[in-house]
Amino acid sequence: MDRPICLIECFGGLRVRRGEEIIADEVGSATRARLPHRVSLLLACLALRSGEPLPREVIAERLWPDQPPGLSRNSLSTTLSLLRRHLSALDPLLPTPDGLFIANRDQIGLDRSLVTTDVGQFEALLNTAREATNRKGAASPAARAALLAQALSQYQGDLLPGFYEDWIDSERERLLGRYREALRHQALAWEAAGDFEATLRAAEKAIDTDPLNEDAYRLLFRALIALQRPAAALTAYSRMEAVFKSELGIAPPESLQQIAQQLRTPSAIPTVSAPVPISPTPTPKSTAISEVALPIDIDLSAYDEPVGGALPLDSPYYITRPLDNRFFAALKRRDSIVLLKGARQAGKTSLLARGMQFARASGARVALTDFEATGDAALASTDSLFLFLAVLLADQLELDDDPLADWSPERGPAMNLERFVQRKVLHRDLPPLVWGLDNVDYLFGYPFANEVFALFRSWHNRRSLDPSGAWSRLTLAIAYATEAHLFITDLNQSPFNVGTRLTLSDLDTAELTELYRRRGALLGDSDTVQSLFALVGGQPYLAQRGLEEIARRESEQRGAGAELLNRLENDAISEDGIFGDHLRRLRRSLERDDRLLNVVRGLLRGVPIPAEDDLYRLRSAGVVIGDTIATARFRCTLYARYFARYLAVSSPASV
Amino acid sequence: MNAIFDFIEEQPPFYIAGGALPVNAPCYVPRAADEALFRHLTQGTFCYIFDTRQVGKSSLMVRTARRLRAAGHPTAVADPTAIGRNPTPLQWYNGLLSQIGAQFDDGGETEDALFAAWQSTAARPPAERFFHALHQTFASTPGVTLFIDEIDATRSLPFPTDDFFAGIRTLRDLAPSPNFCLLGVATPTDLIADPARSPFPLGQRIELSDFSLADISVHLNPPAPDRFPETILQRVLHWTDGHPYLTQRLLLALYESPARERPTTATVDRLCDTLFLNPSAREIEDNLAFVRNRLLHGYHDLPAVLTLFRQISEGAHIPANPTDPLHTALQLIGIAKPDASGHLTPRNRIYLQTILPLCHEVG
Repeated sequence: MDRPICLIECFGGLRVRRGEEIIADEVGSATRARLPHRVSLLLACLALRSGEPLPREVIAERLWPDQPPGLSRNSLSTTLSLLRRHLSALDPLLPTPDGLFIANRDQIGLDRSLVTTDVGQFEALLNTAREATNRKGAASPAARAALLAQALSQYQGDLLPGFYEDWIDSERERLLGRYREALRHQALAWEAAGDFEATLRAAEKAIDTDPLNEDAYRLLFRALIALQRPAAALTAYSRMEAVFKSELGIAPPESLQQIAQQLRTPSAIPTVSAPVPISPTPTPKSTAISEVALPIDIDLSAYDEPVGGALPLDSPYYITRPLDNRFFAALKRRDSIVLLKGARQAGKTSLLARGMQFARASGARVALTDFEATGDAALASTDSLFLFLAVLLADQLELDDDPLADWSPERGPAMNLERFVQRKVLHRDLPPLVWGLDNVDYLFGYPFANEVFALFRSWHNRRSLDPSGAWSRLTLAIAYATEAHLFITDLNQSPFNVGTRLTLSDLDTAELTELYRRRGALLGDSDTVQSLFALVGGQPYLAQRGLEEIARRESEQRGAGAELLNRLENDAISEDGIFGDHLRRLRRSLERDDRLLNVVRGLLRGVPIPAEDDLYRLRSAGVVIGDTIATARFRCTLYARYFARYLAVSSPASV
Repeated sequence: MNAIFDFIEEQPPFYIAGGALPVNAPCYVPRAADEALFRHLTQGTFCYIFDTRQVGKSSLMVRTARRLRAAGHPTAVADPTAIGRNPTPLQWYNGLLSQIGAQFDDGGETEDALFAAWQSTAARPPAERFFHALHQTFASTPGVTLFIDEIDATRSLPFPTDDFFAGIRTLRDLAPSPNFCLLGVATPTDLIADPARSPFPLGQRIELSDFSLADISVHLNPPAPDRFPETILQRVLHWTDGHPYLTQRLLLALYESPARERPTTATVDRLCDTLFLNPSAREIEDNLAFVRNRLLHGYHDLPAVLTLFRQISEGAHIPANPTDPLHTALQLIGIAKPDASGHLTPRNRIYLQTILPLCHEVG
C-alpha cells in the first residue's frame, strides 16, 4: 500500500495538508488554494465517510437539496473536476491521473491509500485507547493518557465550523460528545498515574467544553487538593457555583457541595485522600509512550523553525498565555483596533492565527494580510498597495464584487479602498469582519505607510461617531515588532495609539515548565527546565528547539535530561549546534547594519547602548530585552555567549 | 482553546485614553464648550476648535455631530488625513466629497446628487466644483453641518488650499448652504493668510478647558465598587491639572493596577512616574512624544518659546495674549494655559517636569 500523501482536516475548519504545508483551505492565500463553498462541501462529504464511497445521488442530494436530481448530477461532475483542480498541487505525487478519488458512474470515494483524515485518526486513536483500557493489564494509566492525548490533539476545534448542513450538524454533535468523553477519561487516567498537574489541565479542558460537567469538576477539585492548592480549589468552586446559578439557576449538586465544605475547614484538607499517593513533582515514566504500539505514526517531535514564526495551529506545543485570552476577548468584543506588539519570534504570528480561528468560530468573517509576504509589485505605489488590499479582501472573503469595477483615478487610492470596504466588504447583510494584519512593520519603510495608517485611524474615528454603522463591523488586528513612533510622524494619525494594546513577552519559567511537561512523557528531571531557562531565557523558539532536542536525544537512550543539557550547553553556541541556523541568521542580520553591530560589540564589553533608537531597534529584532538603556541586556545567555565568540571586534566578516 | 477560568468575557476598562471616545463611552466629560458649540452650530455659525492634541476635540465633534443629527440637522464628518499624503487637487476635493456623501444614510441618494453636481462642472477648478456640488445638493436642505477634523493636514498638501478656506466664507453668503466646523492644531493665519478671504474673522472660536475636580468626581469616577476616594482624584489633578488625556491615562493606569482597591496618593505618584516622568516613559508615552516633537520641530522660534516657558515656570507674571505668536505656540504645543487671573502658566506638573529640562538642554 502506498503511503498517504495528504491529510484532510475537518476539525476547526476544512484544510488539505501535504505534510506540514496547507495546500488548500477555505481562506486561501498566495500559496494555497481557496476552496469555494460548494467544493468544500463535496470534500467534507467524502472526508467524513473516511473513504467509504458514496452514491452520486446521495452526494448530490446533500450538496443541492433543492435541485432536481438530473441537474444536480451534472453540477456534481463539475464540482468534482473543480475540486481536482484546486488540489492540483498534489498531482506530481499521485501515482495515477485519477487522483485522490475513486469515482465511477455511480459513486465517488476517497482513495484511502493516498488520503487520511483527522476525523478518521481521531476515532481510530480513541478506539485504540478504549481497547488498551479493556484489554486486561495492557497499558499503564500514563500510557493510556498519552494515547488519549494524541487522539485529543486531532480535535482542533468543532467540526467544520461555518457549515450549517444537517448532515454536518449531527456529525459535529456526535464528535463533540466523543471529545468530551475522551477528556474526562484522560483526566481519570492522569489521576490514576499520579500526575495531578496533568489531571488538572485535562479537567479544566473538559469543563471548558462542558461547563456543567459534574464529573470534570470532581476531578478538578481532587487534583487541586492533591496539589495542596486549597485556595485555588475554593476559587474554582465559587466560579462553578456562579456557572450553575447563571446557567441552571440552581446550586451545584450536593456531592460537590460537600467538597466545598471540606475545603472551608482548613484542618480537613490534608486528610482528604487522593486516589493515589501524592508525589511532590510528579514525573511521568519516560517510557510511557513506547509501551504501546501506536496504530498511526504521528511524529510528536516534528517541529522546524517556522520562517514566518508560526507554530502550526494543531501543535501540541503551543502554550496558551493569559495574553491570548485578552486578545480573544478583544476580538469577541469586536474592538475596532487590537494591537499585538512583540519582538521577533515572540509568537505574534501564532497568536494572530489562533485569534483568526477564534474569530471565525465566533461567527465573524476573517481576512489575513501578511505584509512581509505581500511582494514588491503590491508595494510599488500607494495605488498598487490599496488596490492589492481591496483585491485580497474580495478574494479571501469570496465577494462577487470586483474592486476594479469602481476604482476611479479621480478619487485617489485611499478613497477608492474606503469606498469598496464600506460598500461591499462591510455590507450590512454580512457578518462582521476581523482583518488580521501581520508584520505591519514591513510597511514602515515605505513612503506611503502614513497614508495606510491615517486611513485605518479615520475608520476607527468613524466608528466612534456611528457605533452601529458599517465601520462597527470591522476589527483590525495589527501585529508588529517595532516602536511605531520611530517611523510614524504623528501617532494621532495612525492606529498605534488607540484601541486595545497587547504586548507579547517571552515565556516565563512556569510556561517553560508547562512546555516541558508536554514533552513530559519523554523527559527526565525538572532541573532541566531551570538549566534550559538559564541558557535560552523564555525565547519561545529556542525553548521549543531545546526541549525538542533533549527529548530526541533522550528517546535515543543517550542519557538523562540534565546530563544531556550539559552536553547541549557545550555545543549550543557552535554554529553546527542545534541553534546554529538561528544564531547564524541573527548574526548575519546584525552584520548588515554597522551601527547596530557596533552597539552589540559595545554591549559585550559592558558599554551601555548609546541611544534609545538603538535600544528599540535591537529589542524589536529580538536581540536585547529591557525597558530602558540602563536595564537593557541580551535576550538570553546563549546570545551573549554566541556574540562574544563570533562578533568580538577582531572577528572576520560574515561568511 | 482557552483555559477554563479565564472566561473570555473581559469587559473593556471604564477609561479610554487615546482616540475619539465612542459616543456611548461612559467616561466622557461634558464641558462648557459642548453647549457653546452645539448652540452656535444650530444657529448656523461657522465654528472652529483649534487646540493641541488629545484635549478632546474629536470626542466633542463626535458627540456634537450625534446631537445635531438627533436635532434634525444632517451632519457629516470628514478627515483629510485619510485622503492621502500626496493627492492631486482633484483627488483631494473628490475625496472630501466622497467622505461627506458616504455618511448620509439614504441609500446613496445624497452621494449620487453630490457627484452628479460634481460631474456637471468638469471643466471648472476642483475647489469650485466642490463648493458648487455642496451648494447645489443642499440648496433645499437647511441646517446641514460639515465637520472637518485634522484641518492642519492642509498645510502639508502639495498645492495651496486658500481656495478651500475662501470657499467656506463664500458659501456662507449663499444661504441656505452647509455650515462648517473645523478642528485641528493650528492658528487661523497658519491656514490662510489673506484676512479678506479668510472665514475665521467671521466665525466663532470654541475653547476647551481642562477638567475640574467637580468634572472628574462626577464623570470620571467609575461606579461602585470601583469608585476612587476624593483624595486620590485630587492627587491625580495635582499632576495633570485636568488635562483631558493625561487625566484619563493616569486614571486608567490606576484602574488597571493591582492597587486599584486601595490606592494611596503614593500609588498615584508611582504610576505618574512610570507613565510620564521617568526618562524612558518620555519616549514611550505618545502624548509626551508629540509635545516634545511639536516643541522642537514646530513652526516657531524655538529659543524664544523655550525662554518664555522657563520664565512662566519660574513664576513670571505674563498676561496671556492670544495675538502673541509665542503664546499661541505654547498653547498649541499644549504646555501652557492662562491661570485664573489670566496669566500664562505651565499647564500641569507633568509638562513642567518633563519640558523644563529640555529648556536647559536646548536653551
